[in-house]
Amino acid sequence: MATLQEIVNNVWNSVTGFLKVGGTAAHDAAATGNPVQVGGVYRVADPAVADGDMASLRLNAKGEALVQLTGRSVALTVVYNALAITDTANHFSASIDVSAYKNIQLMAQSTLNQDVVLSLYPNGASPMKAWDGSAWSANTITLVNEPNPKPLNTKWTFLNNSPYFGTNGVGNIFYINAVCAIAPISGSITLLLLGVPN
Amino acid sequence: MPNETSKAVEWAKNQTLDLGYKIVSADSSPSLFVDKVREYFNTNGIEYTTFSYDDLLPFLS
Repeated sequence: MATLQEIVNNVWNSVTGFLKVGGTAAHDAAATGNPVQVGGVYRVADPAVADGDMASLRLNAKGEALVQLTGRSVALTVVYNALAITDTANHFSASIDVSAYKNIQLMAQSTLNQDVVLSLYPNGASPMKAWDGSAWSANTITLVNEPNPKPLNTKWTFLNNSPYFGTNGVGNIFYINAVCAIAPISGSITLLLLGVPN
Repeated sequence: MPNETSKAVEWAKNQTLDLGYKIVSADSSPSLFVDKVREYFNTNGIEYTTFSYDDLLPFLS
């Protein structure tokens, strides 16, 4: 039968390093109990560690973990799913609710053989206009057979801000309308909304 | 949708793009697929009204 000393030695020698484990309070005290807490180090200057080195988790001066996001989820809404327009009528999208997003991006692609004009309707009744220096004029986007996706935010820059489109003062809903002055005989238009969740 | 839509869908599935590869999956390139279906309608003188990829889904299942 192994002696207590042998058992201790076996355990001690089975790991690299020391078995001393902290826990139950300290730092600014109070909180005690079961969960084993994880600590980090606050450093004013960034440490210079080399490839393959161990490094301590970093905290800020308040003890908050310093982390950097390397990715984010983006939700996709199909506004026009390859709409093959054959006429000169208005083609309103379904209502687009952006209340779940803190940032949105509209991407459009058209292979229609005629120009297609896009308008944004904040309330479903009249299109959004823009101040041109002397009057409020139509704020439309014309796509001319653009097989590659185009970011509409580069024209409708207001989409880059908080995407709020009040409907009579409430709601975050808008519509898109697509219309052609000359009826296309080939191609289609696709419009996607990419939203970064709140 | 026109009565010939099923034929148009089957035809579109077997078309190749300018790059030389077939439109293997309609749902991976709805725009290209719809354009091909429309091309079939035009080539065969089939009358149709505005439609989208969503209208073709029943013919793809």
